[in-house]
Amino acid sequence: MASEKPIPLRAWYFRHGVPRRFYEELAEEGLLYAFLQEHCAQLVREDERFRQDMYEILLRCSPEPVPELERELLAELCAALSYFLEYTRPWREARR
Amino acid sequence: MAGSKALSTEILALFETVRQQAQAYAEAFTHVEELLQNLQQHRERFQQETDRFREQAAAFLEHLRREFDTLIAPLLQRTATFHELHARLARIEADSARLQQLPEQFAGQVAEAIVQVETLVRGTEQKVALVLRSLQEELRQWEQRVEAIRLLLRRDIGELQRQLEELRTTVNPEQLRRQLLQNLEPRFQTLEAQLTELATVLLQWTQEEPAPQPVEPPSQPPVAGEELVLLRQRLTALERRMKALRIVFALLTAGVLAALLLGILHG
Repeated sequence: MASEKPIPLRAWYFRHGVPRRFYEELAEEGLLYAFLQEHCAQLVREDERFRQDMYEILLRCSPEPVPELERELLAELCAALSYFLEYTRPWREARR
Repeated sequence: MAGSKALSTEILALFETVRQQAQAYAEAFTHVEELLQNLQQHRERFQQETDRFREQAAAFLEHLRREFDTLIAPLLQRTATFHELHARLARIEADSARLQQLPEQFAGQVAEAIVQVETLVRGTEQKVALVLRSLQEELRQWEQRVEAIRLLLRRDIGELQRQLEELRTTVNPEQLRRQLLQNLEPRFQTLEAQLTELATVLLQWTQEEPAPQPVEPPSQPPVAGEELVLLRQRLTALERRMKALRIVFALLTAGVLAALLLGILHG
């Protein structure tokens, strides 16, 4: 799973053609993140595909900001930027 | 994500900034990839040029080496010839110097050889003269002895004939013969002893000669006349040997002188 090439969330979503589910309705009500933390915490933590699916629903359907989602996305961004910095360390050190 | 209400505006702006920077990084990486491809192409072309230049250099070096060999081979051959000529010249000079010294060495060696030969000839002549003189002296002594013995025998024979005549006239022949035999016996014994001694001396002397003749000791006393004949024959043989020795010595001296002359002439 980790070795697969990452696909944009929207493209992934529309490609698989997932029909409207109760997750969208929970997101529109602003209850999805609490539902996931209460009932599907292990699944969100261990299933990458499901977690990305839930994040996409939250971004698309949530009527107001979700600070926990922001924190999760910032953490992923931080990890990606850390990987980028680590990846480009030889060039930066050589340039320095 | 741009129109999402789940994120605050600051977070959205942050994500937008990150996205823009990521796009800029992507463009930069694309540019770097293009540069890398160009660099790789340049590197391959440079490698090809390097290989081609190396091949051309190797071919040129090979050609240059062949040309150098072609040019240098006659030079090396001429150098070797020159070295050989130089060595020959050195040998000729050494031989010439040695030849210049040869006459002096040859003269010294010839002078030494002449002195040695003269000394040898002189010594040999002295030895031969001494031997000849001693042989002549011995021969003269033996001739004197033989002459004395012959005179003694002749006197004794005359005395015996005279006594026989007296006895024949005065005494009975038979008695005379007996008495005469009794008187003659001691004389004959003395004479026999002298002849035996003479024969022994002659035998010793002849045994000292180079070709000795076996002389049997007298088993019985020979007669005086036969001994004289034998002595005369021995003397004659001695004189022949002396002549032969003189001839041999003369030939030997002539041969030695001829050899010395040839040696001196031929160096």
